[in-house]
Amino acid sequence: MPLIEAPVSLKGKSQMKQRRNLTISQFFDKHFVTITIAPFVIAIAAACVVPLVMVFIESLFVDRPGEFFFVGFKNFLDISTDRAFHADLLRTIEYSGLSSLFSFVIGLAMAMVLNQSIRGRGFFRVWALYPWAVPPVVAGFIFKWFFNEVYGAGNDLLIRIGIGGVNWLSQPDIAMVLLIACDTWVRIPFVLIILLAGLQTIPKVLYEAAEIDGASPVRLFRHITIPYLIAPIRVAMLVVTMFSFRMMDIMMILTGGGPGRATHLFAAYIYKQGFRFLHFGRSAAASVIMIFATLLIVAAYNIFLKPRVKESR
Amino acid sequence: MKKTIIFILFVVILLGGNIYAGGKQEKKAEAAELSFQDLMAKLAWEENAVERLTAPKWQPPKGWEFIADKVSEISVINSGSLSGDPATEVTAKRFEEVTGIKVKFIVVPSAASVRRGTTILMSKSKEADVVYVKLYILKDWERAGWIEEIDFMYRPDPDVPQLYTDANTNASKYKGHWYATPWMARYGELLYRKDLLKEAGLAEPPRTWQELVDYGKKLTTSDKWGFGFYTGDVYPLGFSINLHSLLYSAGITPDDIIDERGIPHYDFPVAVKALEFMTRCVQDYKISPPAVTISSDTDTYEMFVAGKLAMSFQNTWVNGELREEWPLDKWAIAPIPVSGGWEGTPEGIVATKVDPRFYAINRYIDPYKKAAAALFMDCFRSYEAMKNQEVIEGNQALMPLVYKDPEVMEKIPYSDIIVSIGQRAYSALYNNGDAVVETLMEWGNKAITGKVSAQEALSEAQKAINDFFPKE
Repeated sequence: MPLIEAPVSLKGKSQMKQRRNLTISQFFDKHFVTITIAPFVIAIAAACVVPLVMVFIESLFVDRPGEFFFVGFKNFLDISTDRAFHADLLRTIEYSGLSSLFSFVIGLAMAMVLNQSIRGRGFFRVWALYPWAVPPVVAGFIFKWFFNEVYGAGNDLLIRIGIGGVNWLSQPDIAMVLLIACDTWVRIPFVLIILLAGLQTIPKVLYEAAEIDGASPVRLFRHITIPYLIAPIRVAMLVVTMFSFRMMDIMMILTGGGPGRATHLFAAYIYKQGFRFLHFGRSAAASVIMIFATLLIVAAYNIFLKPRVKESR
Repeated sequence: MKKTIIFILFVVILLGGNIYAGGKQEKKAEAAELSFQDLMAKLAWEENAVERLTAPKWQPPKGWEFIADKVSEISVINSGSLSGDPATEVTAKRFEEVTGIKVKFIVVPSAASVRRGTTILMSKSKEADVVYVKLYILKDWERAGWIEEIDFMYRPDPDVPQLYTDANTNASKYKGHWYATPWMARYGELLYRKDLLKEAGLAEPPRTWQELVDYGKKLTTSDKWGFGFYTGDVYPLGFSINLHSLLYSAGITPDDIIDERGIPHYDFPVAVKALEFMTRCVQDYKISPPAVTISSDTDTYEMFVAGKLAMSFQNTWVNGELREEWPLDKWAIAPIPVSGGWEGTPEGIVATKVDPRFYAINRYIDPYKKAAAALFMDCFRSYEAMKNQEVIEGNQALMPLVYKDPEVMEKIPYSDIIVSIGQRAYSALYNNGDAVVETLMEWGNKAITGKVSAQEALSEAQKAINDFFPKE
């Protein structure tokens, strides 16, 4: 018996060892991607989540030079009664709404034109992306110099043709229009490229069939183009609106928020509460409000721009 | 097998990186054995302090050598590109030659230099050993305890503070202690186009606000403005600068502005008149461009150079630019005109604002680094450094003695006027300076653009300013 049993036991051990080896090897094979990516996913999550949590904690404290103490939601209450905050928030909604709308309308129109078989299409497609290559700060400077009231090219042209100069940036309403124009100019290429890609995925046979049935161009646009473009529109508009809502760089360069406070935006409110007024707790509270406002924008787009065309493969 | 090796390598790299970083941290922590103040007590700050600081060539205080044994380099925040600060570069080279300690400048755009300091200090970062400080933030940094006390640089010899203008000695003190050293200043002045005034039959610059208006009317034509100033929300936040220049020229002093609790007040009658003056120059007299509300000193300087502006309130830094480019028969400077009883204001006096620039020591760095930083600051507050600032770069010296230097008198146009301007130059110092300046700018520009009256603007601004300070 023992003579027979011994080899079985040895065999069993060897099999177990082999199985264990196989298990480790199999484990790596099975989870290799997860194991190697996990540290980076954790690091990225930490880089996003930790600051988010810290901002929220900071928002519950008075944090000024020489002062640091817990105040609960007082910073939020203070902000809610701050007239400057209300004005900046409303102005930002107006600004980002108009800027996104114009970016969309112009971007869509350009995408439709550049989707046609026109001469020099390649050149125009590349050239249309030019504003995207310009950093927003530089775009701000371009507009600032062009519309400078005393020595800018804009007024120079107007004076040469006999119209006379305009106080572009020192008139509150005109300054806001220019700010929206500059932001729109920077963002159109992004909308254009997304929508152009979307347009190219629409099967041509749909248009051909509809034309044979006698559909007008408006009906083609309404019943074929738009339903197929909903998903790209949602992506483009979501990104453009979020970026406009959080924009500060163009404003700081072009108008500095002025004249007075006529073009002052929400992101600048957060920045100034922190780095000019040194009221870091209040700045953090305003940041928390901005995070929620951004999430609201995302939710709104997801609710109102649901894809209408089901993908079929 | 390959994947197992890759995984093991991956883990080794991650762990190795962490261990290496941890080791570096420990090494740094070991360095601190003596406090900064202990180290500074080893230096003979009191010995020939005045002679040493006012000598043509800077010498560090005796006993400094042990610092150079421990520190090979210090980092300093510089406002703007070094190519625009040749005097800073020359003085830093001199410091390196004398001490052997290298200076690494952290170049930050001018508009962001102070904010960068704030982020470094509030995060207790060791990124910069010496931080660049402007007037409006200095009190907040001192109050926060973010910068080191440097009484040893001033106290041992009571004549040392006397070397500098009052504006500096007041500015760099908080609750009886010193925290910063000056290295240059900018005064408010009236810059004017001599050639354009001559064409209009005006031989002398205006001396009162009313003359400024009269001259402005004569000089304003379809293609140029008679008088300019700058109040935009762009660096260096000019509304406050111009308002203060007008207030001081109306006989107001910082003591009239700041109450016993340290809160500034701007809703008093003379301040309202000063804002009314700026508003009327744009709205009624139409001698100033509406663009003042979005302009900085650089914008008005460019307008001036382009011949679009005949007279302008300016910072004295532009003199350095102009003296390189233009002959003296085209431009000149004068003190800010006095109020002279304009619309019921007092008679006023020749006075202006001063905007000194300071260096301070990051409180969160190693004591030896702090000691090296103190040596650097000592070099930059010296006669040699301040002369460099004036001669090489056109920045003004806070050490009046510099203007008696024959080379300065010869090379610097209108140095006598600069000295007379500097004799009564004030700076209003309070906490929350940046917030106050921002608030004044916002409401001041609302008045200048005609949205509210000057009285209403300053009353609203004052309400907001009061909220920045504790109630008791």
